[in-house]
Amino acid sequence: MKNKYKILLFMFALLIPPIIRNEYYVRIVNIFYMYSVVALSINLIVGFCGQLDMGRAAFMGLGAYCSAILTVKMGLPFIAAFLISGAFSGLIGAVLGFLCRKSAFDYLTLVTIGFNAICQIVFLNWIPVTGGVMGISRVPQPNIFGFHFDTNTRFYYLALFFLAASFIAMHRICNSRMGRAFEAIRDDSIAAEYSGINVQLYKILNFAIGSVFTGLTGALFVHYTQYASPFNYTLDESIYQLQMAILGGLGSLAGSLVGTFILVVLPEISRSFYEYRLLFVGILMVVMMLYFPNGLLGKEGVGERLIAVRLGMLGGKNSRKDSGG
Amino acid sequence: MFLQHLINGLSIGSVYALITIGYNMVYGILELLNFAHGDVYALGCFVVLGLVTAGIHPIIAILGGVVSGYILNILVERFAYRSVRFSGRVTPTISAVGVAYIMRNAILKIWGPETYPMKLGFRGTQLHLGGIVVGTLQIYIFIAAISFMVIISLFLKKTKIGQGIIAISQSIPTAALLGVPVNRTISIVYGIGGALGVIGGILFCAYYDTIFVGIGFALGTLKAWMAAIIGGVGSLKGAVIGAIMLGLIESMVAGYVSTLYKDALVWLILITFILIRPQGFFPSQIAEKI
Amino acid sequence: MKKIIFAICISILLAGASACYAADTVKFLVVGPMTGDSAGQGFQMKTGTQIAVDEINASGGIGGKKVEFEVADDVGTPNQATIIAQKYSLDKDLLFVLGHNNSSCSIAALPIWQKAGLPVISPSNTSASITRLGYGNYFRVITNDDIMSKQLCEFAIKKLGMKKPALIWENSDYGKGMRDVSAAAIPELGVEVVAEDSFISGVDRDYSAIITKYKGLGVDGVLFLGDYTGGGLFAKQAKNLGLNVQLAGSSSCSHPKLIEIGGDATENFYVVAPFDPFDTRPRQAKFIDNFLNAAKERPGEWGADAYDIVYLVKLAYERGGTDRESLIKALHEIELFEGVTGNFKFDEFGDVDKDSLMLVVKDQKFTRYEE
Repeated sequence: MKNKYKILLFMFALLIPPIIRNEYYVRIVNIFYMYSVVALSINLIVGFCGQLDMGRAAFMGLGAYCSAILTVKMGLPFIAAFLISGAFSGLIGAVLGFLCRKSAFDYLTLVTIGFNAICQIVFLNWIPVTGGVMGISRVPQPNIFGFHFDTNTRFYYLALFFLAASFIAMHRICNSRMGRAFEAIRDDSIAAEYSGINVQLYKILNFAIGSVFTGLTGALFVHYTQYASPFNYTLDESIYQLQMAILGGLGSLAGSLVGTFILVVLPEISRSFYEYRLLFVGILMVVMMLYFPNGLLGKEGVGERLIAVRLGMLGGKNSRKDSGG
Repeated sequence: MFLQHLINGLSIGSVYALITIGYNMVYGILELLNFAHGDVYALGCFVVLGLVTAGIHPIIAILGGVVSGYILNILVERFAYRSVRFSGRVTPTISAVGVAYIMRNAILKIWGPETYPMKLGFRGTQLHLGGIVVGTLQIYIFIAAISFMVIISLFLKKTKIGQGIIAISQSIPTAALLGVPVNRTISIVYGIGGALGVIGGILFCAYYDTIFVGIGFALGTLKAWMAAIIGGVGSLKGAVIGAIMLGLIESMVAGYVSTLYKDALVWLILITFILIRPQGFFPSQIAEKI
Repeated sequence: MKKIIFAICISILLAGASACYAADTVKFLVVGPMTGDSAGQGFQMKTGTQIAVDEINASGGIGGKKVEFEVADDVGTPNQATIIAQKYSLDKDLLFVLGHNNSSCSIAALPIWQKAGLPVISPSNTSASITRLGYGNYFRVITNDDIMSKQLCEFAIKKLGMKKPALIWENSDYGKGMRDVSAAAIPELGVEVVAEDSFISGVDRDYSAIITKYKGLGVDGVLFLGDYTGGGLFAKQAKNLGLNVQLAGSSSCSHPKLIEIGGDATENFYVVAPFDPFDTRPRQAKFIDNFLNAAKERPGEWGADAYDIVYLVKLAYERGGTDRESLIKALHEIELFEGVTGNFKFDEFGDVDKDSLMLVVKDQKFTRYEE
């Protein structure tokens, strides 16, 4: 039943470019698809495993630079560079996860922020490799076995495929033993430990898997924009990406797509919204945390509340908040 | 030149210390990663700028800024943190990030990203001691940091509110059972944190004679957080020593290693430190007391 | 400030209202950072453009057609620049693009602008490499850092007599470009660079470690390649720490705020400038006056160059550059354009070779250095 809808949705997505036929809109949708995967990976780390990672843009940057360097400077074909970048980013993620496997919550957040800062400085200053402030321009467009994804519309199908594949993969992961282990760690890592879950190993795995997806997205993105610049991978960018996952719902994969859609598409529709987007993001973060801590589509989200209202069950909803005394 | 680098590091460190004291107090007591601390006091400092530009005497303007910092932080606590106080770690932290964004963008909308000269009339002079230069303002800032540390320690030890704060840092339910007015006390902690932040921020601005939006997050929250982790979360002594160590590290790395990779190296040192000694040099003094 | 916002609102309204008369207007796009860290520069671009457009419209427009423009915000980030480029490259009414402000944004967006055949004229990209990327539609009316840095270095070594110079540069596309040229040019003048340091604009506000190091090395002159805030602070901290050396700065130090922030420590601070914000020649003075009225600040290179670009296109348009393709051709064919920022023509890469001025702070005011 549910899968039928998903397939219908996918079929509809296939038809989007011929329907809208506007290169600009197609570009926005492409960017929305790619950011969706980043939001999914953030969701995997923050939403499912409860590790507040604020440095996702660094991994996007690692993937992007890795792929740009492999194709531009070493002449590797796109698909090889793309896959290597994912593996590279995942490896760095695993190393970072290994270092932080015992770290408490705040330290992990600080380490990810620090890692983001370090990556940006390295991108900016390791000139022989990263091109410094000028970055790497003229990154080739994706080319898979002779087929060039050189227009927005062609790229659309690549991005759609990438999103669908990532979504399915994430879905599988989250509904496996591993996914349940992540959730157990998020809810109570001590209890998880006693239930026989190797908490440290799963934390590392979680970081590594999330980083593979972030890195792959970064690589795809750089082949789309054809330019790797250190100014694209800042802390502000990380927090904006984090917000995409939060808005839709931590712990809800479909929610990540909704959150990303709102934060990528709305600013393009309204210029005044664009100007105030960061203020809006701030207000949203607070409001979401106060009223929908698990996001619009997550637990206690809009859907469940509507049902609750309909069934007249909303009473006592706020009891949790008053326990502060 | 080594001595001069040492003095430079101490001066930067004592500026950081002033900010870290307020930050670490809230951090230690409520274990909330207060991302908004810097941006809240930055708004307070901009209020001072606004008042000074409007022609009000600097002392009154600073008082106005301190009061606005106090009120702002109480409001923030009341509306953004109180109801998520018991919702785990992720939820309140994200709420705090949200508050930081609201404050920062409010500043950006009103004052923009430019740097303004901050004319407060604190005129420091330079003392030349055998080739080494020490600014009198730097000495005052150092003294201010130490005295704030002492005053707040005394406040926590000797007053009823202070004892209530310490009780809350140990266990909120127990404190409530013992008759500590939890919400009011936490409000006061935030208020003091905000007021201290503005004082620190103003001295920061006076030290560089300028004010810009970056004093909030990049130079405020982040540095205070780093210093708190080096010194020990929740420890006032740790806050001061951690901040001074951070200042020394920055100054030595910039002076002897590389300015290009300065921030990266400072972060690397900090990350290594976290991995080796996560509890900091002075593990929480407040939590262990009584 | 209010006035200019009002003027912009009106112009946007007018732009909306007159969209249906597209054929009777000359329309272009101003793109730059309107929000974010470098919003001040975007504001300058917008204001300079507005003044030029108002003047032209008041005196009959370009070839009898009214001029109008839209403003787009690239936030100064390359990714956003590509989105803006995609959006506006679909607008068939646009004749040309005035922007971007950041070199990295231009590099990111140029492939898309080129596909649409739109001429892109930047008021402030200084990175030398852009014009060598081979995009035929790109022009800039500011001298690239290659020329400007060489001029600064020559002046510093030959005229100011620096023997042991140090370079301090802002870690951005702007500062880095200047640094690369300077680090190569100074040894050619027979002097070694004693020390090199970088800082991050908008974050690093403490230069005491660098200054202390320079004191130890016996540096006798500092070339400051970065923004005016950093320049002012550096001058002030150097004076406080007793580093009494000759200071010279790059073009983005040529802003009155340098003096406001640095105070009397900036006395004798030399800067290379594409535009003199205190120019007294009648045409420049009139522009500066109008700018002051509209923006409550003096024009820097961004405002003045944007102003020149509008007039430059007017000239090219009247010489047959009425569509995108012929405009590119006409721009290349202009043999001499006389603007408020100087006289220039484009070379085959779209670069200009303008004479930059040297300004020096005397009695807390920028004055032109005369030999």
